[in-house]
Amino acid sequence: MSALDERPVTINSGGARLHAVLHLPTEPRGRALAFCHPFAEEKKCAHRSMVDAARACAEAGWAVLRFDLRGCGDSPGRFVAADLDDWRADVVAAMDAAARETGSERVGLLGLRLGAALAAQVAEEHPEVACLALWEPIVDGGRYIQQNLRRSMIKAMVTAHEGGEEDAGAARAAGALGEGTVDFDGYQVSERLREQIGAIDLLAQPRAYAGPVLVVNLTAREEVAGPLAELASAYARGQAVAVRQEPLWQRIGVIDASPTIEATLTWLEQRDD
Amino acid sequence: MTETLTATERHLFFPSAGLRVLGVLHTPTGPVRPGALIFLHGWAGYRIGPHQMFTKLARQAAEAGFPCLRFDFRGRGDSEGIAEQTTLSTMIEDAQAAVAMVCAETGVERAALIGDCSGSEVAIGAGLLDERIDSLVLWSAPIVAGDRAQADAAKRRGIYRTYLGKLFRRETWAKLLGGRLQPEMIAQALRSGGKGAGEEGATSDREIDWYRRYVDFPGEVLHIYGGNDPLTPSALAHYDELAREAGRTFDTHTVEGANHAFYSLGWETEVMDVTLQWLARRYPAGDGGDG
Amino acid sequence: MADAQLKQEIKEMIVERLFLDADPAQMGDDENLMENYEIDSVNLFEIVVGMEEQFGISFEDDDFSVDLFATVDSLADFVERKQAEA
Repeated sequence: MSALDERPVTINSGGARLHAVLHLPTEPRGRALAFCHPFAEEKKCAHRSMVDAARACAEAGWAVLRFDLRGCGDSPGRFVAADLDDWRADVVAAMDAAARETGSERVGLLGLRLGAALAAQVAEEHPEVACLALWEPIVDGGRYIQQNLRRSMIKAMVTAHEGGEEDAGAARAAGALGEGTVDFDGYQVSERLREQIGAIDLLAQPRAYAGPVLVVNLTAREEVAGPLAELASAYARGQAVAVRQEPLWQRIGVIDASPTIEATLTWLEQRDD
Repeated sequence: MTETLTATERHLFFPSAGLRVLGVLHTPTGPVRPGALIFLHGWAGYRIGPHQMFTKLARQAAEAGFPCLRFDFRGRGDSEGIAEQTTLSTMIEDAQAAVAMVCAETGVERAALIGDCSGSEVAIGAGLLDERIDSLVLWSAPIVAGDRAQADAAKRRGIYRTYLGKLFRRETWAKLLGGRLQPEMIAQALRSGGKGAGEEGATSDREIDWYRRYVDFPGEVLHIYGGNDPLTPSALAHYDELAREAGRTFDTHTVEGANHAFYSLGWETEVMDVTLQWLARRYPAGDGGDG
Repeated sequence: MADAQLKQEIKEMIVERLFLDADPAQMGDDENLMENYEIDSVNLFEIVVGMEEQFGISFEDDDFSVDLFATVDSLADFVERKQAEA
């Protein structure tokens, strides 16, 4: 196996020292990406795929800074205190750190799921973002929260069933409550965070970001799903692609993310220097 | 848990079988207890553990005086290695390297392995291999089967229920109790009706004498299970039988209503509290510390 | 009794969304999905989303029960009932 040039670093953001890993290319080309991870347990499932992607990008000449948002992964802070304003600030801090650590003049954002939504939001305020690669971005935050609540309920139902408890009411009570702090698979999600995520609507307004955008739909189908195609079209230089790939943010076990990685690398190679 | 941490945390690399493994070492700033804690994640996880349980527990434990190491097995997380080549055998090697590194780094001479699911199997496999390891904390430990891929595939298919049913048959118990554990037999039961996966390296897992590794472990063991995990009844019965074979009593704790990964805050807190209290008794602090 | 076309669409949706290595035409209407097709809580969720998107129905909180997801028959009956209510 070739020697990998990657090292753990920390990023200062809002008084916190975030954990990050920097992947350096053997032949630097002055380009870097900050990689924004998904929400809660999706991050765990996707972790190795993100590492594989970062390594592949580094081999292709792009430095990649993977980082943990406040309260997530190895970063300090508690998840229950998480706030999207803080997380967006963390994304900006990561971009600055990527530029500083690598000497890159052009730093893009790569994101998965909620991480992709945060990247898209940050790019609206930061036109200097070199490019945006959005893997399955959360376009409708309200629907996403509802899906998470539902999933908690299903999980509670299955757990109760496997314990021989057939009282669905007990399962519902153990699952989503909908008010106050909610337990999403062991992650305590505050009402504020739920509201903030619920307010995400990437299609609500025309997209101001003018740089190149790739929207990747991981699917068994050949055509890009409606909302994702619509999002790509909302950008002046947006492009959407459907990649045959299982939802790697949900799957448990060894995942081969190469279809998604290759589609992204192909697009990155076409970007102007 | 407070936001202000008294322990220091740093990321580091250490070698295992020539490849680079990433870990996070938590070092107490105050008095250090005489045992280090090494966290072993599950098959599909990485060093933070299920819903960050390893991160949270390591921080709490470090505040309580335990040096702690969380790391990614080769082929997982941020470590080097090819994912498809990770086996229980390679994970056991990594665990041994982790123990050696932590003891050298901290000067502590005793270690506890804390394993989640497959990480528990790794703990069982590694426990006998280094005399410094004198405690095992096993969360949701499955009945160790040599063929990892088939055990996982069968579990996902729900065929595990069939396998559990077979375990309760008298002839199956006779085979288990009459001699050493027969991983081939278990693999056979799991293989029926399912697609085999035949991972490279799995042979080495089958060659491990899991029965002896567990029965001959000279230290103390704590098992924690979720009350609603379908795995629990047979697993508890299995390890109870092995403990009797060993002429020992191991500690067990069942979290009522919990599933395999203890996914609610209440369950998670109970697992971490029980684990930490047990470890505090195993490795009491020095003067003025709580036992 | 739900119609055969609906059941076929449900089978195709399940195979597609779960990336199953199975032929929808070979799936039995009344075979146990959870035991035969690697269906766990994550997959159940995928089925919920798939059903809503494909058939334009909406799951209410009270609809969630293990029995609903037992077989293709139970899913098809549910879709027909929901579509009739709409």
